[in-house]
Amino acid sequence: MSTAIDNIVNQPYKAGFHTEIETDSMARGLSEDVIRTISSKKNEPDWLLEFRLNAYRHWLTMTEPKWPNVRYPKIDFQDIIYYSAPKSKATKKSMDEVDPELLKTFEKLGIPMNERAALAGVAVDVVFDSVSVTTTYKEKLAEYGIIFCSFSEAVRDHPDLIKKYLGSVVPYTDNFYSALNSAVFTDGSFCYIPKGVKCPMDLSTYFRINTQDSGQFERTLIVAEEGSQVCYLEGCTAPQFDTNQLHAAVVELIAMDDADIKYSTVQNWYAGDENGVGGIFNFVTKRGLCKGKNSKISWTQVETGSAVTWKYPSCILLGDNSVGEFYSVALTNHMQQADTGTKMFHIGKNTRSRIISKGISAGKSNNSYRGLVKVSPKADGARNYSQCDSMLIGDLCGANTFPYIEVANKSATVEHEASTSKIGEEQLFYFLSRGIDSEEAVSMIINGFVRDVFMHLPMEFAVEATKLLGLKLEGSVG
Amino acid sequence: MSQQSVEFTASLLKADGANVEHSTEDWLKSCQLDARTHFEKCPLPTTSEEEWRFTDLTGLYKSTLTPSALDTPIDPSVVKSFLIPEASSSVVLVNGVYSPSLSTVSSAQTKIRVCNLKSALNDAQLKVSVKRRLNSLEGDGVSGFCEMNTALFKDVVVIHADSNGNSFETIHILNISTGKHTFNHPRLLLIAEEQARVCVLEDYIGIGGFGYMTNAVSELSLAAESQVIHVKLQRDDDSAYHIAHTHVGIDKGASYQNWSVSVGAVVSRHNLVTRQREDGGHIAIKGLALGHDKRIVDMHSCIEHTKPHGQSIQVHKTIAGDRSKIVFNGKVKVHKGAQQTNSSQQNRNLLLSARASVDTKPELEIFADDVKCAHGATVGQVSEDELFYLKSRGLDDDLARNLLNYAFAKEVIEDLPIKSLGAVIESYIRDQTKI
Repeated sequence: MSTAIDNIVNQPYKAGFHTEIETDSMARGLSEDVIRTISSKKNEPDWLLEFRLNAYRHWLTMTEPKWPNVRYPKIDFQDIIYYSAPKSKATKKSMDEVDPELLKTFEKLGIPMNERAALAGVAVDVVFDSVSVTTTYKEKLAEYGIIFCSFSEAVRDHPDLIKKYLGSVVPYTDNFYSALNSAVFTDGSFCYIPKGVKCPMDLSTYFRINTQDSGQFERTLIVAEEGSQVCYLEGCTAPQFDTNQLHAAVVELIAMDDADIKYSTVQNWYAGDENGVGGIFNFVTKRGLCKGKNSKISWTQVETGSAVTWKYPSCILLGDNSVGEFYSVALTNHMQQADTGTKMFHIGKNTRSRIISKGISAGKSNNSYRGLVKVSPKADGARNYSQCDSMLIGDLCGANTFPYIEVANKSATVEHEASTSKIGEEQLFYFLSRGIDSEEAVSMIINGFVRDVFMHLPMEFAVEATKLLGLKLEGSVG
Repeated sequence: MSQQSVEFTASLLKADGANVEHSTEDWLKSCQLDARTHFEKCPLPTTSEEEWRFTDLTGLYKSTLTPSALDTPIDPSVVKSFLIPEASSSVVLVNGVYSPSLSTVSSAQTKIRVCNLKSALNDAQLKVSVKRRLNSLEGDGVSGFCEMNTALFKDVVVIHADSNGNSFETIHILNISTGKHTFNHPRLLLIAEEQARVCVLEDYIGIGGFGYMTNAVSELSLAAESQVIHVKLQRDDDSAYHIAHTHVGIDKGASYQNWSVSVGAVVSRHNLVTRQREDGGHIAIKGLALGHDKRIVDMHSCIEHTKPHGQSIQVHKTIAGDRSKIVFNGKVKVHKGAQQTNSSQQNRNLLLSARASVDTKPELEIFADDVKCAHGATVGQVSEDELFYLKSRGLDDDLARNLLNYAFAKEVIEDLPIKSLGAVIESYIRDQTKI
């Protein structure tokens, strides 16, 4: 059976190509001057520069977190290019004006844009390295009063909203990487759903890291006003490089009374080769604030890429009756390391949260679930259910579970369960005896294993994610 | 590490002064000196360390402790009231030192030796075993408190069990603390040889003591196919600090059953580490902690499956009332190559009061693929339906709740092999879980 496992495990990275585009990069390194330059290049207002500088000054006083269960070489923060944007920057009216090389890249990735976007019914705000190149469907969304644009545009056109909400869920003091991001973020997405509006389509952003050694520091901010609803998709692929690239994004979600935000991610960044050379360091801070009553934030993530992942999409359940959800599939292979999970802070009354986490480890990888469920003294009637299952493929990988449960309210009910298993010989035999070969059997078993999570993904993503898992594990079991 | 912990460490070392009258043995002397040097360098843990995050020892570090008086008179009749009828031998330690007058060690049984360190070292054969097994702590769960115990212990209770057929002999080790703001470092070494069977009750009480610190270390070594039942009952004075480390080494096919019950002290911490030394082995751990008043009860267990075919089952139940805080950290580690491990863990917590809190973290670390591991943790309150059922049969609210709490805790001690002790623990449950 091991040959087939090996084959799946050894599947090369299919999105690995590098696009030659002239880019406008700054010198390596980080200083107040670099931050001022980024800010002036983007014509930012003074208060934003002030925000960046405060974050930078705070960052200088902080040290990198040591507690995650991951090992990686020390990052030299002075050896990173903090700003790089494709040079051809004039505003584009149609797709014809877009650099054809760029279009080819998207084509290879199969990103629906322009007409394809219309067919797929997806509005795509494409972030290519750091600057948004084109934004589609803006007009259509504008009819509903929905703002969906790049972060820089939002700073220019809607400064009041940005000023009000930026850093309100993830303050720059939060952690080492959120401080770094606050200081140097170059672009990202901003989304504002007005009161009572149900977003007519799924909003989607594709991220790509392109210039070698350019750290990407995205900033995403989604505000859902009273009674609104939005479903947001985020997908990542990156070309193959040998030097490690740092990605430290910050995502902030704010849900007012009765608002509903669903945030889905498929992450498939370059994970390094089978010896652990290269690959992306993915240190992301994602947090949602259920500010209003009956609000709901749901995170769904499929993590299959990156050499090192360090990511805990969280929910602060502040409003009474608010709901937080976290559905995750994390797959690690070769030398990949993932320390991922969620945090659910129950503050309001009758708040509920649900955590379903599925970890799959193969090769020599290490996969950890780290979660926190915290019930504060005032969160009467809080309810949590957590389930973390791990599957091990091969005996050289590791699966860990670190669930922290902290309860300070007697009316709270918190449940946690975890299990670890492998694909049993008996299960495989059952399939074989019915004429299904072992590779397909394994794929079916794994699909069954992750079903609880995939059913929460939007349709297009679910198809993509199923394919991705198949690709990643092709030949790994036999 | 805080200044307070550093100062406290220094003051303890200073207060202890001259040490170890029995250190005629060079190896022992150097082992105690090494621990002392090590302990001087790494002071006691504080809440800034992940492993001690929830156990605030500031109260302890702020206090000034002195060594316990070695010759405190105790009324034998008071001691007698704590002894259990099942025990064939009762070892009484007063402030960490063996008291021959209060102890009754059965001499009829030659298969099981119970003695203090001095007599153990006088026996050439026993000395070899003691030298081999004493201070063999390693890996997870070792903290500055272990080093402190090694550096400062005044005596060691040595239990050596040879194969003795099918009977379980019960040995009661009663640790009495009598001092006011004193410290003592009880130490236990249990060596079970092949196919030996023994049941040990490790019992901690305070008689007249106040604000004292008990810093206990127990080492248990189980040879192949031996069976050890180990009950640890912590019923120290409500003002006391109780820190305990239990390290268990398990050889092929041995069985270790542990009951760990915590019903006393203001802050208590128990680090329980079991480690497979060979293939196979069976571990069963049952824990009960009652949070009462402003008490902090902390249990950190670590089950290390280092070899194949190990089995472990753990149930830990707690009840947090008043303003108490309950902490549980249950780690199960399956090392590389420990295939066919079967492990399950269950942690259930009951919150009785609005100001009580529970912090729990069941951890799984798995590095082998052919294993079955599961854990579950719950935090909740008494079910309204159950309450209604009892009330509809005429019980008032308080009584109904007390009965349900009692039933919740009872499960842990139901199959306790020392029957008389079951009744003692039950009375603690009834007293401490009243609404």
